[in-house]
Amino acid sequence: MSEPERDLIERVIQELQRPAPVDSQLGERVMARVLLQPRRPRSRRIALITTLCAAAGVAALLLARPGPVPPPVDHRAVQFSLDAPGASTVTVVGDFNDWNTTTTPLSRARSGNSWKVTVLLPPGRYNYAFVVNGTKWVPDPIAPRTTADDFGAPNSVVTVGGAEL
Amino acid sequence: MMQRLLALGLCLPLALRAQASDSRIDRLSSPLRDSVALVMDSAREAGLPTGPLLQKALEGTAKQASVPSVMRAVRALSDALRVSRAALGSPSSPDELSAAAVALRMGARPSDLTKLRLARPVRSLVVPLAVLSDLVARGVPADTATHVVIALAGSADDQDYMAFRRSVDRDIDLGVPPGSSAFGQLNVSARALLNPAKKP
Repeated sequence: MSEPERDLIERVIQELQRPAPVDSQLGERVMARVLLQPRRPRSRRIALITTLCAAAGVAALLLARPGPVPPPVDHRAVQFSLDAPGASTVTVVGDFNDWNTTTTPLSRARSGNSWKVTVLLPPGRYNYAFVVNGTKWVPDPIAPRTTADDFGAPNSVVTVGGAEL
Repeated sequence: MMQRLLALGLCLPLALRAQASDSRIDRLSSPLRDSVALVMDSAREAGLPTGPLLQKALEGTAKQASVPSVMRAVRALSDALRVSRAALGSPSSPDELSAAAVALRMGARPSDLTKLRLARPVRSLVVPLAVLSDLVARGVPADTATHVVIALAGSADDQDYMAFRRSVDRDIDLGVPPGSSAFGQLNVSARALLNPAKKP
């Protein structure tokens, strides 16, 4: 490389290394433009979706109740039992199951004629009776009976203790 | 908008659950359902509890009773709830009214309910009324049961009532006549309540 060429390259390098003139207010202008940009709607969509998911979760918890729900602490285990020789089915029916004749079946003991079921009940006073073979109403022989018998099939009464009873 | 959606999301399940609980009335036959709904509406407007009325109708349906006999029982219970409210006074709780209606049907008189309220003006009457009904159910004559329950009202708390009932139950199981047991245990309880150190 000749001396003049070397000088030319040196001058070009110096020219390139010279700081370019920059507007001192450029930074402020850029930030002002950024702040003036409209907020992207994406964040609102995310918030809406989050809210709907939360509401759906609450709805699912209230409606679906998946899996076994532990009983409230004030519930008591009450065992209903009946000796029913020759019975093929026995259910207990009362205030606590809306008088549904199928929802609370008793299980027969392996030997003998004894039928039993344990039900968790909140404190209160309940009328009930047994239904044998789906048709025959039988009061509990070891529990007090209600004196008011409106339908020709007397009920028994069980009082479940708690804070009050 | 967001708040509305959130409120809708939270309230809709609750509304559906309320509807579901009322759906029990759908188990009644069509003519019975309409008649029971009318009685329940009337009770609701009067501020009376409607749950016991529906339970009575469901009981009658389960026992395959005729529509007229179910309606007789439902109306009788509705009347008992109204009488209970008149006897106990307006501030009575739904549980008190339900327990009082049962006590009336077990043989208590409206004036007995009023005496009980006067003897125990602030505390709940649910337990005393339940004990009264239980005593009658165990064979204690209704006038004896009401007498002892009212006699205990001034000083006994709920636990005392429960202990009293257990004592009478035990006596009856041992063969003591129910009425005699109730009076005997009243004396025991009265002495214990006058001298708390000797509470049974």
